[in-house]
Amino acid sequence: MELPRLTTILSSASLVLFQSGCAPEITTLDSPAPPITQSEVDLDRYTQKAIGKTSEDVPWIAHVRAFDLNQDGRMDAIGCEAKHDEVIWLRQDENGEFTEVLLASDMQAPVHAEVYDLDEDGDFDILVSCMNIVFPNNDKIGALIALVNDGQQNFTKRILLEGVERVTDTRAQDMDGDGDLDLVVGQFGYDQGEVRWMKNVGPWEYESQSLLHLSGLINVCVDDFNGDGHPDIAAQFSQQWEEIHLFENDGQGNFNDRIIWGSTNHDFASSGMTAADLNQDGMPDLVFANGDGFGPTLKPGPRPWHGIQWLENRGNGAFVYSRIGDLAGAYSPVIRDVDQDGDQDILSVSSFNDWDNPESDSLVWFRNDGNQRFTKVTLAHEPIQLLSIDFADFDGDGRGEIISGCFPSYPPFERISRFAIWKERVHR
Amino acid sequence: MKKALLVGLGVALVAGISVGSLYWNSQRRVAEAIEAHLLPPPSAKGLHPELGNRIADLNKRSVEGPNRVESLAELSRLYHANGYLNQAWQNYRILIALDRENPLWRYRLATIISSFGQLDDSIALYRKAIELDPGYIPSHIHLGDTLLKLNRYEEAKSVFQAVYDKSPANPFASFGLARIALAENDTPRAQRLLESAKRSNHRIGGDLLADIYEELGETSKARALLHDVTWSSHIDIPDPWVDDLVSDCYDSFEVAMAGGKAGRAGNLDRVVELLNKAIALDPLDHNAYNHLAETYVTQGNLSQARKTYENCIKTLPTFAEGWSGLISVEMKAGNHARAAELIDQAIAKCPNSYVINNYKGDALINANRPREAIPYFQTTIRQVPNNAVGYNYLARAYLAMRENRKALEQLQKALKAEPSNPLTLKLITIFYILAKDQAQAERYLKRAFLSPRIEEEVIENLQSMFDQEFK
Repeated sequence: MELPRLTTILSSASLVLFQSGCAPEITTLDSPAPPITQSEVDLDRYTQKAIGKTSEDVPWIAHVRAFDLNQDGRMDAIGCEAKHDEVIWLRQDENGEFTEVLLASDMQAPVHAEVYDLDEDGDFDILVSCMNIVFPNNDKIGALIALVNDGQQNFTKRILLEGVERVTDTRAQDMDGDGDLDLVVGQFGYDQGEVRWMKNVGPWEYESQSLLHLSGLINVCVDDFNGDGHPDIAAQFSQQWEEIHLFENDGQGNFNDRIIWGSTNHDFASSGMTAADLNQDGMPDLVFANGDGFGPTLKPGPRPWHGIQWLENRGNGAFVYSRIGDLAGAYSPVIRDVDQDGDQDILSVSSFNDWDNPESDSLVWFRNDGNQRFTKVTLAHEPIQLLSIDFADFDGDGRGEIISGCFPSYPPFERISRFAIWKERVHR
Repeated sequence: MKKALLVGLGVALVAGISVGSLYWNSQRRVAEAIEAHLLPPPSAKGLHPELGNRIADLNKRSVEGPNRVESLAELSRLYHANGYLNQAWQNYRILIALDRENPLWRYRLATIISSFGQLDDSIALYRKAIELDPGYIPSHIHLGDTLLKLNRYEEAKSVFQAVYDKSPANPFASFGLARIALAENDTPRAQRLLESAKRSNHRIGGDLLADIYEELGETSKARALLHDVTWSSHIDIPDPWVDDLVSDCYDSFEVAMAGGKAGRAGNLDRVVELLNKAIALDPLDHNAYNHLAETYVTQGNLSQARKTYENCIKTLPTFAEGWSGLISVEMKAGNHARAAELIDQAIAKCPNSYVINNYKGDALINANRPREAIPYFQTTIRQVPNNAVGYNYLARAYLAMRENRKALEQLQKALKAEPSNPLTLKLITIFYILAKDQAQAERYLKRAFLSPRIEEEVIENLQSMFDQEFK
């Protein structure tokens, strides 16, 4: 063969070889993709109206819960005012107006209220979790107080637990199958905290059993998470732990503790958790927020990892994590079918955001496309520093309204609305 | 000869074409991979101008070259440092594909992914990062933590144990092993490990150890330990591969956060460095000035603290914390006349600040004008009704006026607001000792003992006073 021809053949062969490549083409990446939030803004969807008494003071509404307390067919709400140690009833009258009624004062910084018929006398009592001091404190000063209803919405205080790490959430449920309501208590504390259950052993008598000593408990949720017919406990821990624990119940009040989710980011900032069947498969899932703005500096603020996520219950106590969306300062996730399209959406608020920026999110709806893919819809930029919301049909028109409570913990103390009700503008 | 030369030239030509083709082709692949997978940059709106320019430039260079991989690496660093975690996440995925032997990309991606709680997804990344650089200890600790949170105790134990075996003084390994021991209900082992962790670094493990001591009935040990635990009992492992990203951060808040984290770890020089950077990024950030001045006070550098507080209140003249810090510095320096001037200036600027009102009232008590101090403390009580401070000061005013009954009422209100306030418990115990009321004195002395916030020395003094009076 002639040399030039040989060279040409070799060159061509080389080119073909190297053009086709020794290494594979990089068409896919083998590590998981980032969870990108799709977002929209819809500031016209709701109109907002302040309710309750007006006050010059900066409010500390730590919790708001929709409930028809007097069973008159009109939805009311219960609020916890942690600065003034008050539990408040926002009673709705026949004209749709709300009157603020003080149910109890001297309540040791109430931060969470749930409504049950604790004494089984046919009316509704209120179970109030009290921190005593809201800002960091490790003293054993927490309390659990029942507001006992006389049937006429006059309430008497009954202390069920005191001198413990600061209490942040309590639920009532029959945990041992003996037909009465036991209590599941979450104690944030500060450096020390605890989850306990209190076995009902007689009228207003309980025996405490500790389940775990760990600080930073935000919320407890009670449901049959593993599908064995007995109520279990899910508990969300913040501080340096950033974990969700599941306490599986054998039906006799014996619990097995294991972690079902955790973050290795010690500033993940867990801030709230709720149980609901998000994908409507018949099993309770867990939806949780991270948005606590307090960190290792003097000023609280938003962090890039704040947002909403869920643990899908796959049955038998197995859970799978998915990110729902980003939300700086996220708190108070509420699961409801907001747009009545048959799937479950999520509402949430931002408690810590960049409030110098007037376009920072305040109230947000994560709209479900029916397949648990969510679009973040900003509903409002103000009022700012909302900490707690609930969703219920307040006006009886078949569609839900949002009720919100405001807890500004750091300046600016402006664009504040102590309690507000948010009504959808028109049926869309 | 001529033929050999031609053959040689031919081979050289083929080799040259081959190498050139290989290089060109690999660059094409890099470019295609980057272009196919790179996420769009964040909106330039609101970005620090320099950050915006760097992102735009690095995006262009990552796609067009030159130095595509290096540019992508720098871009990922910039995104990660400035909180654009989706973009950083995606860039690390690309870098892992293009630069397979570099542990940094896997490690940083793993920290982001495990931070979000996608623990299963992060394990392979941590394991490969460890394989590529076994000497980087934070990879091991994070892997152990991740496995622990997945309840994979045996695997977590072997990861922590390997670190512990090489370095028994590593408090993070001891702490991880202690958590596993607790999960396995092996309290004695957990206790030993937590005590070891705490010996190595007093900021680690105190909370869990206090629980164990309390459970064992070792109240004094628990009390002493909790007294030392201030502002959280945990710090993160120093992690230069992630911590150093802050040098590319343009967000003053995030830089200040990194400063706070350094402060938790006790590295005050680093706090000063980072807070100065935060201030350089946002010269109007009064919080950063305040934090910096506070750090100077901790370092004992009162002159720098003074200057920094002065800058703080220049930035925001109504910022009460800045004024109170400056007043405190002057008091510490013994400049009481200057402090008095500042108190009057501060109260004019911040009439509703409880801290400033307390300073004013306190100054009046010290000037033997306690009755005039009362309205200032009443303002405090209005502002912070849940805080014992206003009631304590008011009690002090009443004591100075010899109105003991009123003083006692205020102390009782203080205890209602803050049941374990150290100053209140001390004052009320002394009050009852002086009033020769043994039962009440004993009651409050017990409460004081149960509050870890009260110093051991104060308890001893109270006990001694009690013994002298009643025994």
